[in-house]
Formats: sequence, structure tokens, C-alpha cells
Amino acid sequence: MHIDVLNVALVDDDKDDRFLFQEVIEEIKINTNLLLFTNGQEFMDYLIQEDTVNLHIIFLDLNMPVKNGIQCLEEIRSNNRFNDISVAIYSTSSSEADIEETFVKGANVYINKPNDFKSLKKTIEQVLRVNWQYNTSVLNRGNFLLKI
Amino acid sequence: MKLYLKFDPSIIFRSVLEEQLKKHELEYKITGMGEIVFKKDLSAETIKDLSSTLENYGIYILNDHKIELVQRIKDAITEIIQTDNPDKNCKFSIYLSDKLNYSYTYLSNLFSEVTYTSIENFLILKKIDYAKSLIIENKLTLSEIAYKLNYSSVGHLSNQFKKTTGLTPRVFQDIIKRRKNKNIHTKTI
Amino acid sequence: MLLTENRYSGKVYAIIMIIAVSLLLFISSITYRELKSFEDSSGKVSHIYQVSMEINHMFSLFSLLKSEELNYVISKNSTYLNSIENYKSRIDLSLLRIDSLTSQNPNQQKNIDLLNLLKENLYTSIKNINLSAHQAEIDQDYIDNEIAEINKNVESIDIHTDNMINEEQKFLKLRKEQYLQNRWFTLKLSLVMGLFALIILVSSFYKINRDREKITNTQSFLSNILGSTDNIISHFNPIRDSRGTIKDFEIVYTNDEIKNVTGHVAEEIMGKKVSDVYPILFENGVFEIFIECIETGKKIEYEKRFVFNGRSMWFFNTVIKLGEGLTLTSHNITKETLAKLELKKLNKRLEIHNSILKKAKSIAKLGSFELNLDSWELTLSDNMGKLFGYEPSELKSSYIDLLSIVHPKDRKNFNKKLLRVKEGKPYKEHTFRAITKNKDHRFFNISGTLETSDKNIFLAVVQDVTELLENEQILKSKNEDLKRSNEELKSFNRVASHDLQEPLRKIQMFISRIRDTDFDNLSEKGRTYFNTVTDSALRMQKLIHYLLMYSRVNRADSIFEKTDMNIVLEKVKEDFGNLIDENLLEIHSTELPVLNAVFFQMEQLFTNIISNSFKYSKADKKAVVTISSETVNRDEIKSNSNLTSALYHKISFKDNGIGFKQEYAEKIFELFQRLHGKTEYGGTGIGLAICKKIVEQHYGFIEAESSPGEGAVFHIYLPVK
Repeated sequence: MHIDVLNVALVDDDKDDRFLFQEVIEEIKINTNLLLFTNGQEFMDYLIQEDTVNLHIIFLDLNMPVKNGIQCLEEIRSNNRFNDISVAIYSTSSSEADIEETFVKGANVYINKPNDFKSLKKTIEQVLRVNWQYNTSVLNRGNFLLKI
Repeated sequence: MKLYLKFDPSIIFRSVLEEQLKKHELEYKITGMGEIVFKKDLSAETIKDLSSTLENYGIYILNDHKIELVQRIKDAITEIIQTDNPDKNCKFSIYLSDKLNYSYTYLSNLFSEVTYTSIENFLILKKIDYAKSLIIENKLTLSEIAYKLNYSSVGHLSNQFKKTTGLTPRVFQDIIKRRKNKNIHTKTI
Repeated sequence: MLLTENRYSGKVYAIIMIIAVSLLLFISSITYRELKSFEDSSGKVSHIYQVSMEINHMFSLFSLLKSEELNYVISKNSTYLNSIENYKSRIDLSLLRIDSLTSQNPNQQKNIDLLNLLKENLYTSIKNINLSAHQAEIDQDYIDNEIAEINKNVESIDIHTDNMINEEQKFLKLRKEQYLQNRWFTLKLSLVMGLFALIILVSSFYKINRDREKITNTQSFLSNILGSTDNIISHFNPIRDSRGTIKDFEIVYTNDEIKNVTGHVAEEIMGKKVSDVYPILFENGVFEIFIECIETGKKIEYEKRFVFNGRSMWFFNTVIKLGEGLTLTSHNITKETLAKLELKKLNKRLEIHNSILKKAKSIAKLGSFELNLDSWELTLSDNMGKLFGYEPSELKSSYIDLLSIVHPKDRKNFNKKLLRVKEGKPYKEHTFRAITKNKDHRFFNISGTLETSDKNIFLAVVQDVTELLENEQILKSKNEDLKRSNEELKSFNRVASHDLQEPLRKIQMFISRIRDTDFDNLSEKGRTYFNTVTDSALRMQKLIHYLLMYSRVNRADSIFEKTDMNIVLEKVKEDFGNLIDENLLEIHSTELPVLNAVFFQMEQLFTNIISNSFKYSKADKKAVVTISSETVNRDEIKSNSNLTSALYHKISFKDNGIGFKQEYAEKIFELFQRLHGKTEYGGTGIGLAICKKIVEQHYGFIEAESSPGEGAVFHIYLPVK
């Protein structure tokens, strides 16, 4: 089925990261609608509401105060309402075991925050593109796992 | 209590369609995945009605030719991958253009415009997706899956798998297993 | 009956023999004498008859002569003259014969002389007659006279011959009497002799037979014994040299038992020399013992150890002189000797054990006591008192007193536990406090059990565990401290690395941003500076990455499990999939072992080594890494690190890179040590240090071999168990 716009949410407490992400989204040719949140609690509060935008993918930074990415992930995945939403964990390097653990907890994507803009753009673009396919074609979202 | 379900979308699609179309007492014939030919032309009102009821089931009437064509390309790709087609060895591009009656270049450009991804990429994505479900089913070995999906070797499949998902088939399988044990709510097969 | 001593010694038999023989000789000599006189007698008798016959013959001749003469006288036939002469000569002869026959008899000689006279008279008469016959005139008176003379002579002759015959008859009678006497005596004697000889013969025969039987019985008895005995019985005869000194011995006899010991067949070695068959006897002093036995005639006993067919055997030997040689009896005492040795060994061990136990008891500060659960009689070991600070005599052997030493709060429990045993329940080992002589509170552990043979007796062992408990406590708290500090360190590591990475990432990110947007706007110097900043940031990033990895290698939270190195390699190969696909890297390996390890650490190890090999590959060549494995013994490893395991898996990674000087082989594993400048080969100096840390955490070690331009080999040794 066809959708016009990809609704993306980013939850990151770092101002610069949010800024960069925005810049990346602006440069990517995919039609997206970006929502920014500064911490996990703020995001979860928003998500719970009834009349939220139909999110397609959420980018979660791991290291956040109050509520970190993992906690958000667990909350999201414990709620059937959000089964259709892809969750991308977005973090600086973790161990192999930790990465696998985030997947097991229900993340669809794990992104190692790259160190330069071009890579960041490439990465986000790939994630969005693939996610778009999962939203517009008959692909098994349950098996959607992507590690970059 | 937990139950694992497997479904065939085309059967679901057909039954829903039939149910709905019956209500409107229309004579029709389903000519492909996502294509119906009606004996008589339908009124705009009927179409609107049909459209809204079918929307409840997530079935949309495409009114954009481009989008429709893209859908057909996708369907063709799905078909190629999932059916044991003896014609698999013939070049995919030729097959597509033959089936849909457009040049491959045109199809390719159109596809990228609409889906933001190339046909080749999509094909790989679909293949790997299918491979993922086969891996989880655990009825075939990796080599058998590689053969089924027309890869030259297991290594080739593993490589593409890793390139596409960033994970090796083994790790992927492990994660899904552990997810099941933890009862994670994601859309499972 | 078999082995009774002969009743009479050899001498007696000799004497009997001599007596018998001399008796026999005596009798036979007497017999001989008698026979001789018998012969003599009969000779003489026949002589007498002969003489008598001859005399008679002679007389008859005289008679015949007379008659012949008469005939002549009558007939005057001259033929008678011849026969007269014949008779005359025959008479002469006869007389001569008689003379010779009776030469020994003087009486007869006289007679013969007379006879001769007579004869002469006769002859004369005859002659006269005959002469007168021839005359013309026959003087008949003369003739008648002469005839009367003849007759007279003849009559006298007759008388004399009768005398002679009577004389002879006289002798004959004598002889006959003698002869008869002789005959009787001789016969009887002969019979006696014969009988005597027969008796001797029969008794000798009987004795011989009996002796033979005895010998046979004795022999078979003996061979039975020899055959059935466990002992080796041999008889040796000495072999002397020209001077009479014993040089060797001949094996005259040995019983079959020899086969079971030395393997020799008895028959085969009989007759051989000792120097051939048992040369060992000349070396171990036995030969000298033999000589001594023969020369002194004493019985000698000795024990000796021999080695036959590779087995050690002990024998108790007895040598006794027998005849010219000696008899050796060897009794196999191997079993007993071995048992004795074993016993000695065990005893020694027991002694050692006992002394160890004693020492251990005092070191361990153990005491023990026996409690009779019926009478509550208490028997304390010496050490018990010492445990509580009392001299052995000071502590009274009463249960009440013992209980009074126990801390008041623990007494009830102490007592209760003992009562449980009385009920038949098992004794629960427990700890109690006690107040020692100098009022110290100390902790004691008591365990015990009922005596197996007397279910009323309870045996207990008490140990002072005060220090033990204190140490345990100290250890526990130290452990806690350690755990805490470890946790702190871990989180410090993690957080530090992570928190360092954040600003670094930002730096790099915005560097790239500037590069993208405004690099060209910089001055040339500016661009150079900018590049330096970029490089430094990159370097810092790598350092932090590896530091993080290094800090993550921690034994405490590693799970050791059976890891198949082949699977590890497969995973690592997948991770290097890109490089392999692009034909920049090739990895070969032989079958790798399965061992106890932490999977992800092994993965890291392999990755780092291969990564290193790739990083330092030759510029124009594809990096090829060959992995092989073998098992080696601890002794084959020339390292000076602590090798605790006996067997190690040696996994070797050989690459075809640029190599390095062997003198740096240890340096490369040190943290932050690099052999090249930062600009030549990008490297942090941490990768191999991580490898070393991982390998050491697996109780193994790593070493490298290389020479410049010849690539490098990395050997990792991991224990087999």
C-alpha cells in the first residue's frame, strides 16, 4: 500500500544531535515528517495520547536522563498499540552482546552513531528507505532487523 | 496461552474482497494480486462506497497508475521469489519487462521515484525477508534456503544477508529465538 | 620299616662275614683232609689187595712151578722145561713186584727175604732134579728127596705167603676200620658243610632280597618326595683340579622342581657343570659356601636372592655333605620375603602416617573426647585441655565440667545435640563458644559419631576455629571491598569511555560538517591545521574504542564454556566478509580444537590477530592468514611464564605481512607499544595487548615469531583441560 509521508520521531537529549539529525532529514529525498523530543519521558507521554500522528519509525538515543532508550523501548514493545512502529536504537558503540540484547528487547534497528555527517546521512537514509519498504510492501515487519 | 499463526495474505485478500463485493452484488473477476475486472463499469458512488468499506480492511483502491504499476512490479518480484519458478534462471529484468509490457529502464526509474529504492534493492530486500522467514521456520538448512532462493552458495547468501541486515543469519536466528522466549510484542509471522 | 636304620652296622656284617668265611674255610680244610686220608685209606686198601693178589699170584706160580716140575719129572717131557723157566722168571718178577710193593713194610720185607731163600731152595731143588733127570741113572731117591724138598719149600712158601697175606690182612682190617670211620666222619662233615653253606646262601639271599626291597621302597618313597616337594633338591659332586682343590661342581641330580624356578629341565642339566648352568653361584658367594660345607662336613644354611627369567626370587638353602659331594635343598621363600618387605614398607608408611597425624592434630588444634552416653563418663584426650588453655591434668574428666566451659548461651544446644545422638539420630556438627582458662571467648567446632562396636560411646573431635572464623570474616569483607572496587572500576571504564566518546564524536561530526560546507573557504594553512585536527580526532576515537575493548576483557563476568574454535573462526570470517569478498584478505585453517573458553573473547582474539595481520600486510599483496593447531606438552614450550597445565592447544596464525624484528616480539604485546609511526600504519598499540589479556585470562599465553619482510606467526597456547 502506498503512503505519502513517513512519520519519524527522534528522542535524543543532545541538542547538537537533534540539530544534525534534522539537517540529515532535510537532505534526504524521502518525504518525511520529523518530530523531536528531548527526553524519554516527554516522548512516552506524547505517545500515550490518543490523537497522535501515526508514527512509522522512532529513533531512540540510549543514554538519556530520567528515562533512557532501553526503558522507552521496553515500554513501547509492551504495548500492542505500537506493534506497527519500527524502533531504531541510536547510540555510541556498545558491545556485541548489548546490541543483540536491544534487538531481543524488540528494537528493529540499531545504529552506531557515526562520526561524520556523510555517514550519518547515508545511515539514516538507508534506515528510512528500508523502513519505507516495510510500510509499503508485504514484508514481515516482525523480522525487520537492521544493524548499522 | 500462546498460539503461533501463519497466514497467506492473498487468501485473506480474496475472501475479504469476495465478501465485500458480494454485498454490492457486483460481477467481478480477480485477475491478479491487486487487480479486479468488473463486467460492468462502476459508478463513482459505488467506487467511493467500496473504497471506504475496503479501507477498513486496509485494502485501498489505487487511482494512480504509477503507484499501481509499482505495485505490480512488487507483486511480480514477490511471485518470482516465492514460487519455485523454473524460469528463475532467465534474467529478471527481461522477465519483468515481458510480464508488464514496459521497458525495464522505465520500470526501474518509476520504481525508484515512487519507492525511493531501486528494483534490485527491493528484490534483495524481498529475498532476504523471505530468507528470514525460512530461517525462523527452521525446516530447511541454510544451504537449502540458499539454493531455494537461487544463491550460488551459502556464503553468498550469508554475505548478502549481512550486508542487508548488518547481522549474520545465525545471530539473526538467535535474536528471534530469544525474542520469542521473552514474549516480545512485535508483528510476528 | 622303610627307613629304619640298619640294625647292625657294616662292621658287624663284616665280622659275621669273616667268621662265616673262616668257618667255611675251616670246614672245607677239614673235609679236604678227611677226603685226602679217605683217599689215602682207600689207596692203601687197594694196595693191600694188590699185594695180596700178587702174593697169591706168586704162590700160584710156585704151585704151578711145582706141578710143572712134577710134570717133567713124571713125563720127562722137555717142553715142560720152558714153562718151568717161564714160571721161574715170572716168579722172580712177581717177587720183585711184591718187594717193591711192600718196601715200606719191614715185616713183609723179612718175609720176602725168607721167600727169596725159599725160592732159591726151590730153584735149587728144581735144578738138581732137572740135572739128575738128565743123568743116565736116575737116582730116584735123590729125586724123591728133592721133590720132598720142593714140597717142603713150597709148603714153607705157602706158610710164608699165608703169613704175608695175614700180615696184609691185618693191615687191611685196620685200614678197613679206619676207612669206615673216615667214611662216616667225612660224610657227616660234608653234609654239615653243605648245610652250612646253604644256610649262609639262603640267609644271604634273603637278606639281599629284603634289602633290595627296602631299597626299592626307599627309592620310590624318595623319588615321590623329590617329585612332589616344592623344594629344589640337588646333589653336587665336586670337580677337583690336579692339586685336589675344588674348582667346580657337577650337577649329579636335581629334582623336577627346578623347571618351575629357572626353567631348566632336570634331565638336561644333570651331569652338567655348575659353572655352565648356574654361573651366578660363583659370584654371589654360594660356591665358597659349598666348598666350606665339603671341607668341614658341617650343615650350612643360608638365604640368597636370585633373579631367574627376570623375576626376583628368594631361597632358603641348606647344604649337607653327602658322600663325596653335597646335597642342596632350596626352599622358595619368595612369597614370604616379599610379604616381609611389603610389611616393612607398610610399617614404615604407617609410622610416617602416624607421625604426620600427630603433628597435624597439634597444628590443627584438634582435641578429642569419648563420652559414655549411659554413664556420662567422659574421657578427654590430652589435647582437649590444651584447646581450652588448661594443662591436661587441670581439666577434670567430667561432663559437667566440660559443659561449664561451654558458653552459657550455647550450653543448651550443646547438650541437646548430644541427647539427640542418644536417641539414635545422627550428630549435627556445630560451632559453639567456650570460655578458656584465661577468660577468652573462643569458637570451637565439634563433630562426632557413635562408636561402631559400642553404641553407647560417643566419639567427638573438637577444633578451635576461632582464627578460621576470623579469617573468613576478613576474607569476606576483603572480597566485598574487591567487588566494590571492581564494580567502580568497571563503571568508571564504561562511563569514561562512553563519556569521552560523546564529545569526540561531536568534534568529528562537526569537523565533517565544516569540511562539507566550508573547507574550500579556508586558507591553505587553515586547511592543513584542519586536517591535523581531523587526524587527531580520528586517532583519539580509535584509542578510546580499543581502550573500551580492553577494559571489557574481564574474567569475573566471563562465562567459560565448551567452545568450538572452528565456529569462532567462522563467525570472525563472516565479520571480515567484506575484505574477503573484495579479495583483500584470505583466511585458511586446519581443524581447530574445542576447548573451555569465553566465546566472544575468543572471537575478539581471532579478530584482533587477523585484523593486525591485515593492517600490516604488504602493500601489493593480498593478506593471507593461515591458521593451524596442534597439541603440545608443557615441556615442549620454551616460555618462562607459569605453565600450570600439562597439555596445551597451540593455535598458530601465520601471515604474509611485513613482519618485524624478533627482538620486538614481546614489546608488541605491551599496551600502547607500536613499532611504526602513527602515519605509516594506522594502529593503536592496544589490539595485541587485548589479545594478550584475553589469552592470559584463559590461563594461556601468546608469543610471536617474525623477521622483517617474512611475515609473522602468532602462537597462542591454551590449556587443554
